[in-house]
Amino acid sequence: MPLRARTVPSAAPLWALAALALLACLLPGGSSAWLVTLAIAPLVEEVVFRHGVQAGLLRLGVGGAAAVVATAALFALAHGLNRSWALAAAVFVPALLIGAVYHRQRRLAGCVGLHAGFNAILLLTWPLAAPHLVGLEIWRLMR
Amino acid sequence: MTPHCSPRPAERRSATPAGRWRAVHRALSAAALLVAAPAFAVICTNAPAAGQTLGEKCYVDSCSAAGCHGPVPSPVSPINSADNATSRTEILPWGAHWAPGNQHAFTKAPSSMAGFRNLFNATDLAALAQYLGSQRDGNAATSIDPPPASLTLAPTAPGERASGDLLIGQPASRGWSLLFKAQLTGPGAAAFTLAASDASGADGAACLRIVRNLDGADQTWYAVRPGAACRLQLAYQRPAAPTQGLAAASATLSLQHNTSTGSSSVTVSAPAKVPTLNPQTLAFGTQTVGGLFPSRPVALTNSGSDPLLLAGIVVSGAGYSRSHDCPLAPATLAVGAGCTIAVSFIAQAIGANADGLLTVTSSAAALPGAVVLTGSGSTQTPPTLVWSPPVTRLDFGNAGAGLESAPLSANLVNNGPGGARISAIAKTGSEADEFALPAGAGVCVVGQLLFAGQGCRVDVTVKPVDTGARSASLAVDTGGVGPPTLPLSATGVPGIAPRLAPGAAAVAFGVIDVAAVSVAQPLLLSSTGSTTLHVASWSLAGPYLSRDGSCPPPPFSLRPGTGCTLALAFAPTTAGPAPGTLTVQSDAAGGASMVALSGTGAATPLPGPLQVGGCTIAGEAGAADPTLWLLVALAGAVLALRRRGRRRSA
Repeated sequence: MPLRARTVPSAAPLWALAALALLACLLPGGSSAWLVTLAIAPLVEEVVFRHGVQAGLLRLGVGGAAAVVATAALFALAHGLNRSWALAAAVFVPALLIGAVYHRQRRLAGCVGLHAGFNAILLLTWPLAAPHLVGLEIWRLMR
Repeated sequence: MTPHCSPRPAERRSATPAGRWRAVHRALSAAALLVAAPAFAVICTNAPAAGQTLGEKCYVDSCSAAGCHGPVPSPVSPINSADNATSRTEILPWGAHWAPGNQHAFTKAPSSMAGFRNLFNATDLAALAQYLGSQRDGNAATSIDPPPASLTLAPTAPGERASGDLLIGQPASRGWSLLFKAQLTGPGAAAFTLAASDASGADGAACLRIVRNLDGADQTWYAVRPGAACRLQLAYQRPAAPTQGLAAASATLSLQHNTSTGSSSVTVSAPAKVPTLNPQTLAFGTQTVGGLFPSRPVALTNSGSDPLLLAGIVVSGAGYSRSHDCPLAPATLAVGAGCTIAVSFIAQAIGANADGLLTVTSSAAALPGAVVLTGSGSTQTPPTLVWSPPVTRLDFGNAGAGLESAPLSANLVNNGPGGARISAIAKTGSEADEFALPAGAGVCVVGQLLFAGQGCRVDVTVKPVDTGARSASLAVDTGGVGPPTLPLSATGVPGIAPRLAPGAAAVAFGVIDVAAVSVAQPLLLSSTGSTTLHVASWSLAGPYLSRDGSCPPPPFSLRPGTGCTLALAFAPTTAGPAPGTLTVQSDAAGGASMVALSGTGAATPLPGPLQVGGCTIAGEAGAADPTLWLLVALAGAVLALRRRGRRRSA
């Protein structure tokens, strides 16, 4: 899919990012966790992985599908290395979907919203999903 | 009829033999009146006049008319005027004498004679001895039997007194009383004293002091009946002296008696208490050159009266050595205490006599003295050690696997010459560990020295670890020859079944987060039976894992008394209690062994809805997580780069 010409982006995302970060620092622990999960993390992760990684791959000439898959894999890898492999498995497929949306729209707002939505869904359905992901963790420990 | 023997003063005062004769004659004449009577009593009553010396003896001579006394002495003694009795002789014991004013009654058989006498002088005594002791026929001679030769009293310290008894007797076959007089003579006689007392005889009092001369020197005589003895008590009083080393005192006890020899003497000695060495000589005999032989003890006893300050204990002579437990100066050996000096001899040359001397010196000059040492050497030959009684092997027969058998023994004896020291008692063979050498009394130990003729015992037990033939060898090394190596054998038969003992009946892991894994806990599996335990498999039921342990993968075996460790971990998959079981399949008695496992899964599992960080890359530290701010920085950088890129393209 060819890149479409765009005007110079405004500084709004940067200001929004700075404001959210400042808010996360000011809020108490429990509230900041929700803020991080549903607002800050979707915003910064989408900026890094869509605007940064996926857009970068496309600029380097990588195919769209390959860029989507590679970005999703890199996204899951980051979760696995920093958090857990269960979580990595859980976020891989949503990352494909978000990547596809970004590839199609080249806009970040939908991706951030979609990311936040997925986070919300994952948080709500985690008690049901976690037992099925424990096997992966045990397998890792037993190696 | 009761005659009265009451010499009148006028008669007792008669100084001439004729006067005395008349007095005695009258008395004996009165006694003679009793001959026809069946029995009579003679009462001797002293009724002395003022200032008159009383007679101290009254004797009755009753004997057969034909031979109880000898011929009338010459000059004629008044006592012999009673020569008309018939049956026997009786002499009153000295203790039965009568005091002035008392009466003494005695009975005598009929047809007796009696003589009474108040005063005896030397002439009277000689007459009496001759009269009673003369041989009237060939087999009635008096004698002293056994004849004493010497008497040694107990050692004495300065100021101490010692006494001893000397028996003067004669056999019952003699017919007449033995009359003797004892007197101490010699330079040391003054320190000795002599007293006599009765020794028990067949017919009562046996040692009769029949005479006490009142007219001068001691002329005490004693009469001993046939078959009886007179006990002479000799005492010695050692003069007080401040130092040890007093010489032994001695005196001569001269005996004058009416035997055929007429006199004899006894040496009486009273040694002083001084330190002593016992024995005075040590003879080691012939020993092999260089051989080991037992040391000989010399007892040093401080029998003196002062603590002994030992200056030195020295041994001289080739091959002699000594050891001792005696205190040397400035320590002292207490009075009455003793110590032992062990003298050893190792022959240095063949054939030559080796003389030595053990010298002990002390503060008491030459005391306690020296011990003469003698020995010689012979050809050098190593000692031979054997099993005695001979044994060629120790076979335990059937022995229960895992059970310790009763011991079998072999006696090791050194046949000499000389001693041998045990340097090793060793078991060899692949199954030597199954044989044991228990210790005990009389059991040989490494380092033990066996002198010629000595022995010790080797006990062996077996505890087969499995069934089948078990064997090993037992060897004893000494400085000599032998003994031969002993084969050890046994046949292991099934004993008690193998047993498995888990280290714990249950293992609890506590509360662990769901999907997390606990720290591994060790569980010891011990083989406590008597035979090898064979573990076929083990399994875990429940959310439990096995980590690295010392147990090998099954199947494996554990010998009795050994064990291995399983490492178990708890990995809960759900919240709440998660019981489990470890099951070990083996050939142990009782079948499979099971261990209960318990743990509880915590309801805070892997990243959850309330956990800080949620499903983001950032971790649980939330806003404080550096990863989050790294992402923010990256995002800012991406946006900045995009703006710059756009501006350039614009």
